[in-house]
Amino acid sequence: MTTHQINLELPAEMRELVHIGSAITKLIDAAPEISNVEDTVYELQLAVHEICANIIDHSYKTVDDGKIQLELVINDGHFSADICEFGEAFDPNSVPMPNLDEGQIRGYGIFLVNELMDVVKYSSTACGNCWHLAKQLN
Amino acid sequence: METVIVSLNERIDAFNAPTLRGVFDNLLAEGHQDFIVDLRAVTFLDSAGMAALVTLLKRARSKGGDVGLTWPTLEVSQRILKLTKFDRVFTIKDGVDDFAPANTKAVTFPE
Repeated sequence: MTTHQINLELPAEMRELVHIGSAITKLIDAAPEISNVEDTVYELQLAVHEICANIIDHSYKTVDDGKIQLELVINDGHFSADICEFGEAFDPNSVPMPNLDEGQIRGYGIFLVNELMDVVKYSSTACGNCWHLAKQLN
Repeated sequence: METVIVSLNERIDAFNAPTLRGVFDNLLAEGHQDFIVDLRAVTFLDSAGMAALVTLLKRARSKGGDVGLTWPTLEVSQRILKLTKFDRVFTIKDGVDDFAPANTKAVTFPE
């Protein structure tokens, strides 16, 4: 069993989120046990991207120089992402389920993360706020 | 007034979605109300890009118009649109010609 890990620190700016895709591609490429690479990279990138965009929009709404720390891990076909920030705490339960029959202006992001990942957890402590995402890939 | 064919390319995400919304706003302000947004060349579409499309749809319909989409080429991107029921909210076809638009104006984003 081999563990592959990438740690990344991004400035909390939307233009920086493009780097998530290349990091996840690198991680998946290092794990030959993963099949259907293109779709897997897309779905993991979208989930991690949505969390980071949410952090920029909400936690760092009033902060100019925020940072987002990411730890991306593949272990025996199991993916996990720990995404930490130091802005305002966020209440995931405050996000209503989108009414998909009508088309939504907001609310697709967290919905997609929950659909794409097996595990979505959020914790807020004095040291910062962390999202934990996980998914069994094969 | 022409049907506007908006061809989107590469990433449509939280970084460039505000600019895309501005493009849509300008077209609506010019009096356009019918749109076909071509997603075939889109390689990544996030919730902010999706929200920009829904905003356009709501505003176009409020003026008596409509917005049609073409399916992204990537199957995984098609699955995401089905997850969010975009295929129930929008008319989505394989190609722009499937909408048989008569009088058209072409816009590309990002230029």
